[in-house]
Amino acid sequence: MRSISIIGSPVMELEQVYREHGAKMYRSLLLYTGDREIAADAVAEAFAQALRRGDGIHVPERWIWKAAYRIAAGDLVRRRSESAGLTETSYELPDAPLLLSIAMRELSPMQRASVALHDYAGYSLREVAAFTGSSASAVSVHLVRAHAKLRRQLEDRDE
Amino acid sequence: MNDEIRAFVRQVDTSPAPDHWNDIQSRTPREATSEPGRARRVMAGAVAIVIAIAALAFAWNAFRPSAAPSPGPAASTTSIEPTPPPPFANQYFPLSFPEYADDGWHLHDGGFVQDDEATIAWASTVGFDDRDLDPLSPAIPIHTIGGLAPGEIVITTEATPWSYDPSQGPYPPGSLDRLDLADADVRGPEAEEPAGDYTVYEIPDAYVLVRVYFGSAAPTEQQVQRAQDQLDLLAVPPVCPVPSESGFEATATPAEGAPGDTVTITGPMPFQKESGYYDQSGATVIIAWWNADPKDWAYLSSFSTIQPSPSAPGPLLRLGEGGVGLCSFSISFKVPDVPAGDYSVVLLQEGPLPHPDGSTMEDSLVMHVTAPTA
Repeated sequence: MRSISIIGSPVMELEQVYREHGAKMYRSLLLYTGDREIAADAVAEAFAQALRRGDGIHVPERWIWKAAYRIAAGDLVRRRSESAGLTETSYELPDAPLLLSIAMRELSPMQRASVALHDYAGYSLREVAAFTGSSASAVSVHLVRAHAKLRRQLEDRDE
Repeated sequence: MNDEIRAFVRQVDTSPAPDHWNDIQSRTPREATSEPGRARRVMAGAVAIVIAIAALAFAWNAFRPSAAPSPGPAASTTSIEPTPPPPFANQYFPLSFPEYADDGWHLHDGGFVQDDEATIAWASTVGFDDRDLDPLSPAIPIHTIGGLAPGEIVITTEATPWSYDPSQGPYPPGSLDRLDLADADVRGPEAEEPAGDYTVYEIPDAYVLVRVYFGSAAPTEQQVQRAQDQLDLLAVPPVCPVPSESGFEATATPAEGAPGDTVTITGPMPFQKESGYYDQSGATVIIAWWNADPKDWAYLSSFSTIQPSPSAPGPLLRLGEGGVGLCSFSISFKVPDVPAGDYSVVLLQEGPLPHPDGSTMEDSLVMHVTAPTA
């Protein structure tokens, strides 16, 4: 339902998607990964792969969001395995309020992805499920649990 | 409150976003070598099968088949191709304890399960031992139970959704009945459980196997009541096979038609409310709107005071409503008398009737209207 009207060359179409979604996608991935490099690289890689496929993609926006999340998830797993033995995997939101970093760090990766795509980027449960390879019901449960944790953080802040 | 959460996470907008478009155009995408090669995949599959067989044998010997791990994040490789479906016929929704504000309980569930597996949900007044959270560990948290101190409680619940007879309905028989600890057998540890001076309340012959472990030989009434209060929160899912990825989307039959043609839209359920509970009311409906903008679905709600606008030139129409079963919904309507073209159909869920207290967008799809046949 969020299809982009396709006019002109694939490069022009994808640049239009990038201008509309690139910054939001980066920040959504930043919320998910807590890693500036992974977020930026996932966005760039997803668009680069879309460019390589040319006009073989029906709905570029959805395809690229899904690809970016899959790429970032793979990179997160790789980072965790490379940092095995360290006491803690880093999670940081540069230039964002510290409380947001602390609160998001408390969530599981799927909870973070659900919050980043649903609460931040505004996608529906079904769209989040499609992007993350999950189901709408599972996303719903992740959100309920994530919201409970975030509410606790907000209540602590307000006290 | 969700608005506050949304505003909270949107503070990430203060992080500057880079503009890499020029770099992207000259970037060489990662090669397929970043995915496991075919031989590696075959090897990984063989290893997985061996591990699975070993795990099943271990779990079966210990107690029952082990619960499956929760559906993880996305694929662990950089592949962007759809994940192949699991080699099982069915998946089922898990038992779960919905999470509330900090009430002193630690929660765990095993996620979706497949044929021949047990779904589990645990609640404990102490943190679970990490060894108990391994997907291959037994169906009860033996390490946590083994270290239970007086006054502490662990609740374990377990069910095998695949074993229910569908002819008896999608819910387990008696699933609306209370799991009452007053009906429990009281005993000490059995062979499969760690030794210790603790008490087990076990509810026999229920649709869910419940065991409550109290960290003393004689739990107080208050402790039993505390366990009962937590057990009352258990969410029991209807036994509906879980569709594969994207399988939750609604389907229109036929996918296109001329004005006056009858179209039926069907889709899978159950609907899980934000509280974590499944809708068992039987009084929820799906309402179909023609030519509505999915982004403005909230305006379509019967509570809305804002007049919705059509998505494209032409009328915005309420097509009708259809009933919601526990595992599926269905709604039929006639294609309106509109010019040929593509129109959006938004499916809104509202319930329970007659006084709905909530609504949400179930799905949206595009209908293609053809010219009337001569």
